[in-house]
Amino acid sequence: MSRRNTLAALMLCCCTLPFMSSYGLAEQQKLVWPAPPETARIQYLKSIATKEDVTGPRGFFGKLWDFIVGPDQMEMRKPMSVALDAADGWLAVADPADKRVHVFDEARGRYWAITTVDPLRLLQHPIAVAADGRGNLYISDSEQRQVHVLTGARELRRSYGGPDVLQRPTGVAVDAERGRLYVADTPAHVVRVFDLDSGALHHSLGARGTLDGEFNYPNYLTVDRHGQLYVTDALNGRIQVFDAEGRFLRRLGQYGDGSGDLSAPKGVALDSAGHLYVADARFDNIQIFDAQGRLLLFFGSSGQAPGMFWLPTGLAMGEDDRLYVADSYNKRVQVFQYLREAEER
Amino acid sequence: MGAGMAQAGRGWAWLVCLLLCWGGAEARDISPKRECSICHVMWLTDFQRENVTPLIPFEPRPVEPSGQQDVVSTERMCFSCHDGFVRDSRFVWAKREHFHPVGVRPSEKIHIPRKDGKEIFPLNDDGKLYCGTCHSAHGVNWGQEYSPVFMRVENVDSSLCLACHLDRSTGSGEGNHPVFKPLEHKPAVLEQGGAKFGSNDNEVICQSCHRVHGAASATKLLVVDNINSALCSTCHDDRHAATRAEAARKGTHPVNVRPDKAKVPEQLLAQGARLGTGGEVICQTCHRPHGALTEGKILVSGNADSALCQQCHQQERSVVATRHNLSRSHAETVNVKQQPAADGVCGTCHLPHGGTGPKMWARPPGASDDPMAANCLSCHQKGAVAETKLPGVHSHPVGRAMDGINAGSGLPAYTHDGVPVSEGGLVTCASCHDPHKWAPDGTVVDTLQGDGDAGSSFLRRDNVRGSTLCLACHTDKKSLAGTPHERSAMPAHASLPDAAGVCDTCHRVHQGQGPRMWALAPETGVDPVSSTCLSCHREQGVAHGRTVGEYSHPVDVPIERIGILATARGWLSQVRDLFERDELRPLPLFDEHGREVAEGGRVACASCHDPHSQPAKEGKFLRLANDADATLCRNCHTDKGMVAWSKHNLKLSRPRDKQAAQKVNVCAQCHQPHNAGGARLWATYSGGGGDAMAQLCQGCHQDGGVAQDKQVGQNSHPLRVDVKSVGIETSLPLFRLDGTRDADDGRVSCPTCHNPHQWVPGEPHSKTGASAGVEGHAPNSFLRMAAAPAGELCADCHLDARWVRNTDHDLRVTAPQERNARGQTVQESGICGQCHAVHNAQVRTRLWGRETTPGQEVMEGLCRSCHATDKVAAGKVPLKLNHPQDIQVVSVRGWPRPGEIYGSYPVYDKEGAVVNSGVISCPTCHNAHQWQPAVEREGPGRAVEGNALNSFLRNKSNFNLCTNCHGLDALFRYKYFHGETSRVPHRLYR
Repeated sequence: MSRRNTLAALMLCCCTLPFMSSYGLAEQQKLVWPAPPETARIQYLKSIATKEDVTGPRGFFGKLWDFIVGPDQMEMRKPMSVALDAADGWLAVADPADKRVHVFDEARGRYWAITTVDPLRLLQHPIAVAADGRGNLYISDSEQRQVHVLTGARELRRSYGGPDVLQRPTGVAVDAERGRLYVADTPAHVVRVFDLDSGALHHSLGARGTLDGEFNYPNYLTVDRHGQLYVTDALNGRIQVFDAEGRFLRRLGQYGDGSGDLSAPKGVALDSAGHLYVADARFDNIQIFDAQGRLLLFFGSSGQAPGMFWLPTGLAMGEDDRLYVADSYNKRVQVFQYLREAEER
Repeated sequence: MGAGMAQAGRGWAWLVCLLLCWGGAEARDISPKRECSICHVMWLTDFQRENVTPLIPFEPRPVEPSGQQDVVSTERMCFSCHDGFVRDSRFVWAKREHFHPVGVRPSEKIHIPRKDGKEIFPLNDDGKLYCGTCHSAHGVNWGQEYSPVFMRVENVDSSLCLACHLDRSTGSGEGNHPVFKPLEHKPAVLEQGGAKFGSNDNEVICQSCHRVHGAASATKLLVVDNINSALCSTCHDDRHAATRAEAARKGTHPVNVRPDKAKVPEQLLAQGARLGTGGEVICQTCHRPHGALTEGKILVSGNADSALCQQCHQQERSVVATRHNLSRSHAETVNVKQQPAADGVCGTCHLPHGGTGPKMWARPPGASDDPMAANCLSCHQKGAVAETKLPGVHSHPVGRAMDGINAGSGLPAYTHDGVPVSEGGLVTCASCHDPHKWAPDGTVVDTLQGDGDAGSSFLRRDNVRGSTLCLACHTDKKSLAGTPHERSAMPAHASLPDAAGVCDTCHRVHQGQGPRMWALAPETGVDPVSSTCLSCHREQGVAHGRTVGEYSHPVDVPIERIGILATARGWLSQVRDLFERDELRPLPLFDEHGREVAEGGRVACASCHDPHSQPAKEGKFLRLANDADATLCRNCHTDKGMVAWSKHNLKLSRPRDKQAAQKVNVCAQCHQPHNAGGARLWATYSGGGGDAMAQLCQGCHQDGGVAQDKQVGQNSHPLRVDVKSVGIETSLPLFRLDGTRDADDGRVSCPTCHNPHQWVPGEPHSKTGASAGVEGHAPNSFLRMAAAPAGELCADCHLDARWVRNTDHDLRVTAPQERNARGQTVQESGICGQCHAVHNAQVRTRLWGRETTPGQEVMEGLCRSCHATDKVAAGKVPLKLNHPQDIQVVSVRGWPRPGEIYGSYPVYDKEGAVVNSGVISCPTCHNAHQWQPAVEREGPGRAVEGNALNSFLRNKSNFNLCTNCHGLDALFRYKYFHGETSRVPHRLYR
């Protein structure tokens, strides 16, 4: 059975409840989808809510320091967007309610928060983040109407946009190979395309409407390795795909209340197999489509337990096919693993 | 779908629809399926699809228990879009638990208005309130604009609120807090809490106090929590106080304080009165913002004739029957708000709000620094309703610190703000008077007419018998009992008032005749305190047998005059007396108004006397013992106390003397504070003649006196000398003839040199003189300065004689074992005393104190006391020591001779007096007190051989001395007349 047929068949068996595998004791601890006896494709790994989830528990001297100067109470308030950088290995989480971007470096056990662009400018409403795979962090601040680039997720390199260009920048995606910065301007119903090097506005995509290439409140963006741009066209209930030159290629999904439909689509991400992951804030789930727009699998439901969501928003996919989901009202980032079969790779 | 559309008006997902509807301005087709179902997912036909899994449960009914319609009006629906990608509305609901009730059916009081047969504010399908009752998500056309918050009706000045809650806006006349009344300013606290105000002049509207969403309080939906009336106080700050003191300063009824005397009755609580979290009186104890009584002022209970006040203030109800009930006694009078007294008993004096100062006073306060007393004076002053009951000028003090004297008395002291306190309070009218109760025993009698007495008159304590009220605080005055100052011990006398108590014999608490609230006519011409004493202790007074006499201890004089520094911390003396006491007991001193003051006060009778206490049987009401140690006198006259250890203490020097034996107090041997015989309060008889001071001394130092063996003799230092007239400046005291000290016009008297209270000068603690047999010498003998060894005392006046020190004439240098006529060595007599005797001199001339050797005249005799062959200066006898006595020489001071450059050459008569025409004697050429002419300095301190340039000469004798008189051939003539060999017949001098 081909991979595609397998997933399509499993789809009918899916439900929104998580399932525990019944294969032995070790397998019982795993939270996977679809439910056994089907072959598991998605596995819940962990949640990140505090810096200790990444840096590990405080050591003796850390506790002593906390006792002396008081503990550093870090918690996410409204994680809206996540970004991963393969080069530096950090995870950035945009938290506009806290007016900061949390950065976790799991490999080095570090955490830091970005609250200012430079000493004179505080972040106002950092709603989305993106990474270019070269250690640069892109922060879209919808109140400042700018996208800031921070080298190594620490030092400001430059800013794009401004009130003259952007009405309310939201979702952001980077195609470093082709020198493109894509910025969704939600209330303007367009996607602005900037030249990465010059910072100039290169061109814009779309206008308000329901036709192909038109948008109705676009929000999240992502770019695949071919330079194809995926735009969540929220109130049209679809995902539109454009090539690197901005030409409309195709669309996926339609507005509705059933599986395969999109009701309040949010973040989009692509795994190594080219599957499209779409978070839906009204369904409280993640739906997985193939390149043709066919639903393969959905997982998650409303709730606060692991594997459940409360208004999920941004998505990010690591090179190891780990999916990071900003679970905004649960104040956490959940991490899932796409279990790709060896022969499929 | 049709039914679904009917529900559309009740949907409330207004945030999403805002985007949709406003976006309609662009050229897009409105597709109900696409546009409406974005929120109205229940309308989707997809729910009937069979090939998909429904991801939203189909539930078209209202969501319980919130009363929201289906999923369309849930927060989730809004926030799935409004999460920051368009407007971020999530933070609007930070306190979403405090909002207008939904999911409930409207009460019977609510009447939802209708228009065109439909309710303007629809309920949900269950007939309950839900968000859509007030809001519509579909853009309500307000005429000028679409509602930005999707209100079904524009909420101008809370008009939307009032559409349903009409009964809450009818004003105080119907028991509601007034609305649409302008505020002077909008309280910042309310604005921060999200309050809104009317469009005209900051009017109060429903939203000024209430907030429909995100209210601070869960109940009443108040913008600020109204714990202990915090909300009320934001506007009514002038009527809000955290303490009684603050209430007094604002002239308002205390709030936020627990009642002590007053008690909020259950009946009032049942009527809707509320207490604070700690049982405090708060605004809502008397007021209700809604549902109050309809007589105005939104009261919880009716206040006709002060009924509400009296519900809590039950103890004060007794005022109703008294004349302080102005509604009966002066019904026509009005308070500061022009409210007639007839309106209610409490309101004539108190205003719960808008009063003045303590006790929220309703009348114009009188003139007093004590605000509490000022309240009373608003009536008890001329022209006011109680002008027949004035306290008078001399009245019990008010506004003064109690300093705890009321501790245990049960009588209250008050702060400046009228708050009764147990410590640090001030005395005021209300300390003695309870203005709400006529008689202390609580007897309720109608007192509209007639005068009160010490058993009524609003007094807190019966003061008829034994002055109980007065003595409750003035416990130190209880010692008056049994003394001559108690009325029962006094003889009948016209000057005494008709009084019954203990205190009112002398004091009248109000309308006194003088300082100290004096009940008798005070004496005039003296200080206020002493004037009261003298009202009895005078010839016309009841104590005419105990007057003070012409010579009496001074009063109205500053204590500093005798070296006492009176401070608030105590008394300090410039002299530590013989007893070396570190502390003096401060005695009362008084200012010009008779008030006791710690600093700058003056002496009065009451400084020594405590008229309320007579500790000893000697009957003088003295504050300190008048004992052998003179404790009382020495407390002030610290520099006089050492007289007890001298021969001037007659009990030492004359133990058998009757006069001395009668006087226990050493001071009293010579002085008596009242009815003295003369100056210095002299107690003993004085000698005749001389100046007043000398007379005092001679009183004893005369024949027949106790000190008759210590007289000055015929040849004694002159008295009454005007030293200035002879060019003498001195630091010693000089005295006028009447005995008063006067440094400018005074003259020499005995105490110029003598301090009769101290035997050894400079050593106040010396007891060497404390013996009858001790004989005095120049270093002691009650001298002000030691006259030995260097004659310091003498030199203070006789300045030019001081150069004799350390010369050959200073016998310390040349003959230390030599004794004068009195047998004293120079150590005993001082250098002056070897030649001069101040008293009992051998020779009157120069008060000579040595045995003289006869010479041609007196002055030569003085010099020959020493300069004789058998005397101490036998080695210094001139061959021919005298000038021919038959030669009368004219030498007038001020008529210089040729070459007479260092002074005149005095000539003498037979008695040794310097005259203009007389004989030449030794001192004509010699100045016995100065070694070298024109060199004013002491000698070298050793015996030296003189020459013609020194040798105590008045001028250098190498040439000038003789030629001044005898011309240039003087030497030849001298040799002729004085040399044995040269005095031969000569043809020139036959």
